[in-house]
Amino acid sequence: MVATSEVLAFVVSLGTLYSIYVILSSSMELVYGELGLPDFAKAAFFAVGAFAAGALSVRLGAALAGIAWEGEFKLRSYYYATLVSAKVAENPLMGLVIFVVPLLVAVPCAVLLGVLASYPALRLREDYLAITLIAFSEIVRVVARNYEPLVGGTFGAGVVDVFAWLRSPWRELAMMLTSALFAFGAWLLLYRLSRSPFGRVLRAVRDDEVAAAAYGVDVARVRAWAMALGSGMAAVAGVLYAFYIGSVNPDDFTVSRTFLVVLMVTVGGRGNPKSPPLGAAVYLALDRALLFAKRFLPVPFDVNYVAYAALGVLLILFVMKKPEGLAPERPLLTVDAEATEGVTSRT
Amino acid sequence: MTSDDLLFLAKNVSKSFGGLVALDKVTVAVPEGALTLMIGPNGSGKTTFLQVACGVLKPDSGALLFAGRNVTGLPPYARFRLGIVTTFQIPRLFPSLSVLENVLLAAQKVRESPLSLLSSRKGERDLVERAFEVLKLLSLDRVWDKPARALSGGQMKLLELARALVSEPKLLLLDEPLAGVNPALAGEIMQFLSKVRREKGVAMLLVEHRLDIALKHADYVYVLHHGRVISEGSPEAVVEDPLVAKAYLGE
Ligand SMILES: Nc1ncnc2c1ncn2[C@@H]1O[C@H](COP(=O)(O)OP(=O)(O)OP(=O)(O)O)[C@@H](O)[C@H]1O
Ligand SMILES: [Mg+2]
Repeated sequence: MVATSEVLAFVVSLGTLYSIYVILSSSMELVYGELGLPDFAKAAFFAVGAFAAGALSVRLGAALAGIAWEGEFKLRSYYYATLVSAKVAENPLMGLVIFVVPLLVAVPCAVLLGVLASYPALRLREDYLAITLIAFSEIVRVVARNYEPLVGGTFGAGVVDVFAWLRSPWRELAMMLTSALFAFGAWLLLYRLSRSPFGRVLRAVRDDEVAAAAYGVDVARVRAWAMALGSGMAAVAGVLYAFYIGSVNPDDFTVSRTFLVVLMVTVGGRGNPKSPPLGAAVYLALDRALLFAKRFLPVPFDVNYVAYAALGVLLILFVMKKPEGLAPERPLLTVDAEATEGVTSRT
Repeated sequence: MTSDDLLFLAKNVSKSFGGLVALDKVTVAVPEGALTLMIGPNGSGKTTFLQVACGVLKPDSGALLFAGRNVTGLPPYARFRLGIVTTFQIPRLFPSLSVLENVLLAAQKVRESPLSLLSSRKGERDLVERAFEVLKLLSLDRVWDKPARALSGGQMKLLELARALVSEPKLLLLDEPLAGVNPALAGEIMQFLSKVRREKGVAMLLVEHRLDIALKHADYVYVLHHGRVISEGSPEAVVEDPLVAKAYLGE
């Protein structure tokens, strides 16, 4: 029986992480795949969600449970997270509030930041823009790392277990189902947008910005909209991630996380809304396989580097040999096939 | 010609690229519903003028008036929405979109809000109908589902034209739409443009080298040379002008 429950725990944990990556890569596909804007600040928008959960869940929980706070946040947040979780165990509604409030704070913040970040896109060439966004992403991380009241700086912050009112396999299962629900919502939004007249506008801007502008598209507004949506989605993923891990550490949101998401979209197929679920699956399968294989690799350095190198090689291979990805982009069709058939048959 | 029926006026428009003066105080007027032809040797500034007119390029000085309104500072998308629509001499299509989608983009009214998600299927179908009318006319209907990048050079030029026609312009700026199109089709297209102008009252500013086809449809002609208007007038008057012959012969 031990074996079964271990397998179950593994699958549930993987399912949660998969859902979070589907949200992140859906947001990357929208902004980078469909619109062609290299949103290399994705980790920062993801972090906004996680930081909101890290900064708010324990404080809010303590306030709701009437626990008086003593000591510095960075030293005590883990302790109070345990206390609040114990209260949530008796009061599911409190868990719900502690889950929803960070979402309500994080999403508008990320949307606003996303819109702001879309403005340099008007003036900068693609490569300079990518560098600017990477710098922006690092600034967000470094500020969080050094401003301890936010999420405890390098100490990190404890996060309340909002499903503490459930018992063990159910608790993790609830986390997974919640994440899966959000992932499905995010992906469906991407899919519907991609197949709508708005998707057509996104690809037109990506294909030829000047021609799009000459044909009535306000490129600045399109970028602002896409960045708003994409960043909001990433923030949702960040909130889920914080509650899944149970703590938040600023150094978990480096640029390399952005590149994992770029990898997923590239492998899946940039420009095809099927790329996020596909690419996230490929990445996680590979990541877990490497995790397993690493134990048997006798290398004279940190075995983690083997995984980084392997993923890097995979990205290069795809970019060089199969740039269209596993699911290549298809021309879109915003009207059902019969509608066009009706017209074409008369020709 | 009274000033009431003037649709578009470019006044003393100048534009330089570094040291090269591409347009030097060019003044061009396009009356409502007229077909105005612009000719000139290679490199005389015709394309530059059209791009300034549609807003893709900013003039260094001068003013642009459209329907009595100063549009000099307006970005291209705003001019498009007023009814100024241009085609590109070297096609600038959306290569990964299908032929149909290229045309639909120019026809759709909702452009940058994701709220267009809620726009009705019916609306899209009407657009498809309209798009096919134009595609059929330019014999592009057979390739409607091909990505634009898969078209031949001639087809790309036709798609440029289709995209412009479907957007229901008030002023159509056409940059050598007949180049690379076979003579029979070129004649048909010119006939059709004339018809659109007559029936819908669309004013056109046409840049074209193929005078044999274009000249007889023109109401008024401007001749550009080294960025200056060296001659203007009725088609008959302009072809007779010795200055024009000299410019073309390169003396
Ligand atoms: N973006 C640019 N940068 C620098 N020079 C340019 C640019 N665009 C045009 N020119 C120059 O400006 C001049 C006018 O060019 P333009 O394309 O307007 O001529 P044209 O009359 O359209 O010629 P053609 O009949 O060959 O199409 C040419 O000397 C051209 O080399
Ligand atoms: Mg030209």
